[in-house]
Amino acid sequence: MAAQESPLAELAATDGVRMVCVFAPDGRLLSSVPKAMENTPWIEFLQTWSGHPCLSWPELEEMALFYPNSLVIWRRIGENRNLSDGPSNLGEALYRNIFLVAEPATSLSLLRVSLDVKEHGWRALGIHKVFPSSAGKGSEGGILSKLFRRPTH
Amino acid sequence: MKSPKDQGPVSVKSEASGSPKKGFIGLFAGLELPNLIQMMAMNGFTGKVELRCGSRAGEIYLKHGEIVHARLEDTAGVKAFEQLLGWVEGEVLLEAERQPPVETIDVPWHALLIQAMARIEDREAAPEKAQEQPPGKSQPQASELLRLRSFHRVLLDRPGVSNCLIGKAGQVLCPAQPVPKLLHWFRIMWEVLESSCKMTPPDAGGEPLMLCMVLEARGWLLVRLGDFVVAVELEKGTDLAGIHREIVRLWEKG
Repeated sequence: MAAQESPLAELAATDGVRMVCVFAPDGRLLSSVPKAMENTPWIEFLQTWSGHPCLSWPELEEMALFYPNSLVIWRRIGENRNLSDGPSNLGEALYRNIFLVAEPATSLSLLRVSLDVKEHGWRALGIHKVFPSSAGKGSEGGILSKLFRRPTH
Repeated sequence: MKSPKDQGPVSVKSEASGSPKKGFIGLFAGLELPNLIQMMAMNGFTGKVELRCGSRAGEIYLKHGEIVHARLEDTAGVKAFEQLLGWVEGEVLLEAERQPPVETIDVPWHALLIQAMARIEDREAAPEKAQEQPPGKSQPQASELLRLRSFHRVLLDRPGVSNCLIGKAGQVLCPAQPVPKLLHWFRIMWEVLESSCKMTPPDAGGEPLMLCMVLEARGWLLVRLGDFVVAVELEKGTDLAGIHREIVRLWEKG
């Protein structure tokens, strides 16, 4: 898929943004822009965060890490539950972990607004449809992922 | 309740010299001792406040309104002051212009009173909890706690700050009795902060300078200051970088 066609393309084009990527709750990379960043250690770093138990706290909705040379934003987008609304999606988690990596001086407020706007649109379409879990590598989230879903705190 | 003023000035004999000295003597059952100390501090009182309760006796010295020394039996300094302030009845004797034999307290009077009152509230709120404290558990020094309480109060007064938590090792130190929800949130914040320090991204230039989090639609800014973590809840539109600079500046200023 060309970067321009990705649902993340607009966010990635925001001033100061270096990279945007979306992970499934099980840590699989579902989408990222630009693709070239997938070959950097950033993906591994974000993937580790994506599967970190801290981000499973239902109370925690968003996080921004201000490093000296980078700004990293995480947000849980979509429904924070594992139950699906229909038999065809049985066991598929309806939320995704989105990460933005930006220049350290980028305005957090600006990025949050951009993210709000995009999330609003994605929610209307269905987060799990915009970022289907089948987009990445690895196994589908089926009945087993429902039975053995990650514990919530 | 009888206040010192009810009984008027009296002459009492100095135990040491036997010479008469001027002062006020009274009973303070029901009298809020912290209020008395506060009143004297605000009026720039210099002299000794002698307190007696049964066979126990203690004294507090003020110099131009600042509390400079306290003694209760073998204990002196902040600890003695806090213990004395917890007394709820006894006798009080004021001796103006009496100089302290030694100065054991170097903390602004308002911070000292806040700290002492917080400790008294802590004891009243959870006496069993205090007794159950495992021996040897690392607790901040009184002077450290005092500084934190004062810092906490200053931060709460900043525009844009609607809440403030200060903690160490995952435990909230200020405020003394946080509501359970805030306590729970602080643990989450602490875990995230700890994890973020362990996981440093490539080319990031080191550990995070600060963290922002949204917990149940409420925005928090976290800053690590040595062993302590300061978490402030911010009103919408607050300048993050500005508040961060302010927190660091105030902390370094002491």
